[in-house]
Order: sequence, then structure tokens, then C-alpha cells
Amino acid sequence: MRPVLDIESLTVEYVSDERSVRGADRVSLQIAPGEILGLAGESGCGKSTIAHSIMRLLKDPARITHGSIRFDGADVLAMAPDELRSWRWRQVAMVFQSAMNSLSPVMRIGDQLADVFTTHERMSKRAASSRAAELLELVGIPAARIHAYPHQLSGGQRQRVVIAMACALRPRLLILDEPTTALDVVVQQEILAQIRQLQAELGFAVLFITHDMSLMLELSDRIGVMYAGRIVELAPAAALRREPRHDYTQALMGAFPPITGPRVKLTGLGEGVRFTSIGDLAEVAPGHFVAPADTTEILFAKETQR
Amino acid sequence: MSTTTAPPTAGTPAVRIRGLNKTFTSGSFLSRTRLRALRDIEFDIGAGEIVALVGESGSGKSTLARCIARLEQPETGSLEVFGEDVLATQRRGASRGYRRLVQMVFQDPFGSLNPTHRVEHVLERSLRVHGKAGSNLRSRLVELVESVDLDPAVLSAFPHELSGGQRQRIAIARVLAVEPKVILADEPTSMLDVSVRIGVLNLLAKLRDEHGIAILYVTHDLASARYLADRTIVMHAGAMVEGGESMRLLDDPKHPYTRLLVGAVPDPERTEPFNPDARADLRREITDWTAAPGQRREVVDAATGHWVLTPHEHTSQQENA
Repeated sequence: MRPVLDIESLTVEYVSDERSVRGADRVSLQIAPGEILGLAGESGCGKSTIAHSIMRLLKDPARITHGSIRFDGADVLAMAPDELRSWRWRQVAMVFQSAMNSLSPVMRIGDQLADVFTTHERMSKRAASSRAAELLELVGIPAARIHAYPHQLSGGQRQRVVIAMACALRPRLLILDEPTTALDVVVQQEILAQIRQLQAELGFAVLFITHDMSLMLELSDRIGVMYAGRIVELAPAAALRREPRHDYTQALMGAFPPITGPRVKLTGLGEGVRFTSIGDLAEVAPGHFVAPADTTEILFAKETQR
Repeated sequence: MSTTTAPPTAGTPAVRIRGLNKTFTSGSFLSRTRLRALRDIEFDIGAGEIVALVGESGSGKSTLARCIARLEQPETGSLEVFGEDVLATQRRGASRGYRRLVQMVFQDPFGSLNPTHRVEHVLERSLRVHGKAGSNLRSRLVELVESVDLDPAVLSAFPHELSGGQRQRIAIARVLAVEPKVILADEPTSMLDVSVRIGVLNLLAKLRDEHGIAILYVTHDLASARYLADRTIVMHAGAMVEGGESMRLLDDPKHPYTRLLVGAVPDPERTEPFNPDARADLRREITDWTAAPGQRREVVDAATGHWVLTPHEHTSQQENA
């Protein structure tokens, strides 16, 4: 089956006068239709850079210097502005980390949802409004709430509204960038269950970005672990849980104490430990890829080779 | 059966709180709203013990830590630190002696260190202010950074040269410079990169074990409380609803709110899918429990100090029958 998204050797550089930093470095990955691919890593590893590249949302000084992004065969990087405008939202939609705060505080949420249909589908106001009510119910909020203003909803409900908006035009790919990080665990769990249910109903593929490994293992079919702009490990979620191969993946997994089982001392990643000269992914087991790397310890600007 | 005493700790507890209440008022003269942030708080922290305070945002856990740090003033109740009721003896605020005894570690290590000073200056100042500088200052500074598992080379670094984890370690070293007996740690790892969080938790455990420091660990992360804390207390809407030894409590929670929190922790081992109807039932049960009059603490297991706040006696036994 042709992947819905095919990223090939993508390199993004943040360029300044003195130097340039690689936000993403020769990243390749595919997402199959209906698949949930998780992208894990810590702040600054490049996972959001990838998401913004796919959506063509990168702003100066970020530049895509190498590689290609294909969506259902179409070259995303070659799309003209008007092409891009009809492609975004209809084909690929994105939910940002603090998206719940991006709702306009002075518009009723029903009107904000209806805007999607009047703008992209040229629907009449009346039809758009009834679609808005349906959408709200789809994410478990009573339809009568279309008259509410954002401040009258809880943080979790606002995040649901934003997810409903993203699903409004039945996109084939949904990008979720830390969709629950600002929420309490209970609400987080309910929202993720909602996303899973929507995915089962609507059949979209998901690129799920988070730093929380336990969350990622729970939701994803396949997981890519990013470090310093590179993918260091890519494997089915079950294989990664059973047998994480890369030192960094192991450190990430060891960073989250379990909620069940015996109390075992964990170590995480040592303070100041860095991975350098990260190679290309090589298949170590069917569907399980690992990139070789060196380990370096950096003590406050001074470096010592281990 | 029913009792209000906290589990016994040897000698005088480091911190002993009884009947603490705090209300926030907001709004103007005509539309005043009152929020009961803390209701009848009652617990001890033993010397060399870590107690975790868990709950969702708005549950009152940070307010409670700030009351102990004397950054907030409760309306009623007593706060004894090593036997002295400091709310009565130091009515207008904490003395320098109190601040020496009780220190706080904040969430944000990026905002808590002065960017224009080297690490050694930050630590030295802390030593001087509290009269702990002494004659062998240099060796004391080295000792301090080594006690938080950093290389002495860090002393000549500026905060911006350090990672978040290293900065939080310096913030902890600064607290240690004062040689406190109690540390209040309010979400000390939630702003750090995930891979170094566990290292900071291990450091807190070391301070407990090697220096006998009493630690209040405030967190929304139940799994980390289970990992680090000897005892855990669950807060809901300003009240303590359940408490006991962390492992026993979180492996066998009795209060519906604790069951809700435990069931929501991401767990790759969990197999049963999320059930919205069961969730709605659980939420109703929480309302039933917390809204009912005549709340009292009931002992679940005396050996591990496990108790639960129930609207009436024997509820938890019936639930499990």
C-alpha cells in the first residue's frame, strides 16, 4: 500500500549569519494510511520541526535544505500557495500543544467551528452551523454548547473543540504535537481515548508527537525516537517496549517509573551525556531500525570522551 | 476503627500539621467569591521521610507547600516544626531561623538562578547570608556541588552554560548550603527534560537517606510519587482524601478519586480499553463521596498507615466485598 506520507532524507537548517543549526538531519519516514506513528524525543530534538515542515509552516530562519516530502504521491514542497491552502486542513490537519488557547475568546465556539465549513467548503451559514453541532457531539460535547464562548469551557473541552476542528474536513493525516501536555492526566486519558475512537471511525493516519514514552507506547502502532535532529531508532511499538536497542531509547524508557510492579531503581540518562556522530538507520530485526552513535560526556562546555 | 492520628514516627516529627484551613477570596466588594483552598489539613512528615502530595491542578497541593514555606498565611490551624508551633510563635512571618530550617525548591530552575553570577557566587552568598561560610569556604563549595553529583568545575560556570537538570541540581545545592532539616519540593522535575528527571528524584532520595532531611514532594505525577515517596497523600478540592505508604496506597486505592487518578496514569501494560461509561460512574461516585456530610478518616490498613476519607464507616469494605 502506498504510504500516505513519505519523507525522504529531510534536512532543515536554522540559518543565521554566524552559523547554522540542523533542526532535522536526513530524516526519512513513512506513514501508512490509518497508521499511528509516534515521534518521541526531548525538547529541541527536532520533532516539531518535522511537523512544521510537513505542514509547510516553517518560518525564517528555518530552511529545508535537502530531501523531499510526498503526500499521497504529491510533492508537498513544490505546492503553490493556493494549492497549499486547499491541501491543508482538507488533507492534513494539525493540533498544536497549546491549541486550546488559540480559540478566539470573543467568538462563540459554534461560529468558530462553522468557519471551517464556510471557508473551505463554501457551505451556507445554516448548513455550517448544523455541521458544527454534529462535530461537537463527535468529540463528546453536547451540541447545545455551540453557543458557549471558550472561557465557559474547561481546558479539556477546549482541546476537544480544537480536535473537532482538525477533523472537520475528514483529513487523511492528523498531526498531533503534544496534544495533551498542558492537561491533567485524567483529562489527557479521556482526550486520547477520544482520538482513538475518532481514528477508528474516520480512518485517518496520525503523526503523534510527545516526550512522554509511556503515553506514546500506549497509543502508537510504530515509534520513531529522535535525538539532535536524527532518528536514532524506529520500530513497532511492541518491539520497542520489549527490546529498546539504542542507549538513548533505553534512557527515555528508564525515565518513567511504572505505576505497577516492584520498585526498581531507575537511572535515566546521566547528566551531561550526549550522543554524537549518529549514523544512518540500519535494520536489526524485521521493521526494527537502529542508528549507531558515539557517547560523549559534556561537562559544562568542556568535553571528555568516554 | 476510626481514628485521626497519623502513622507513628519516632520522636518528634519534623513537620506536624493540624486543622489547617486556607480560603482565598476574590472579586470586588459586591461580587465576592470564596474558595476553600485547604480544608482541615492534618499530617506529619518524619525526619528522613519523603511524603508526596499528589492531585490535579487546583487541588491545593501547592498552596499547602506554600503555607509550610510561610509564603501563604492559613486562617486556622497549627504548623509545628520540630515541636515549635510557628504560626503562634512567629505570627508575622518566618524568622531567618525558620528559613534556615525549612527550604523550598521551585519548579523552574531557569528563573531561580541569577544569570549574571557564576555558580560559586550563588552558593557562596547562600552560605554567607546564613552564617555558614566559615574559614574553609572553597572546600565547602566543592562539597556542596559534589553532594548534588556535579563536577567541581561547575563552580566557575554561569547558569546559561548549564542544562535544566544541572541548574536544578545547583538550586538544590543552594538549598543544602543552608543545611535545612526540611525541604519542600514543588514539582521539581516537571520543567526538566524527561531523561534527566529520574536523576533529580534519585538525588532527593539520597538527601533523605544521607542527610536525614524530611522532604515534601509535591507532584501531579503519581508514578514518580510511587517511585520516590515513603508515604503519599492524595488531595482533592483542598482536602486530603487518602493517605498511606506509597506502594500500598497506589496499588490498592480505596477512594474513588484516587482510583480515578491511578487509572489515568499512562501504562503500556494496561490491556483493557478506556470505558467512558465506567469513567462517568466513577465521577458520580467521587461526587457522592466528597459531597456527603460527616466525612471521617477510616483506617484501611493500620500496618501501612493506609487511611481513606469516607462519608460513612465501612464504605470501603463494602466496595470490595
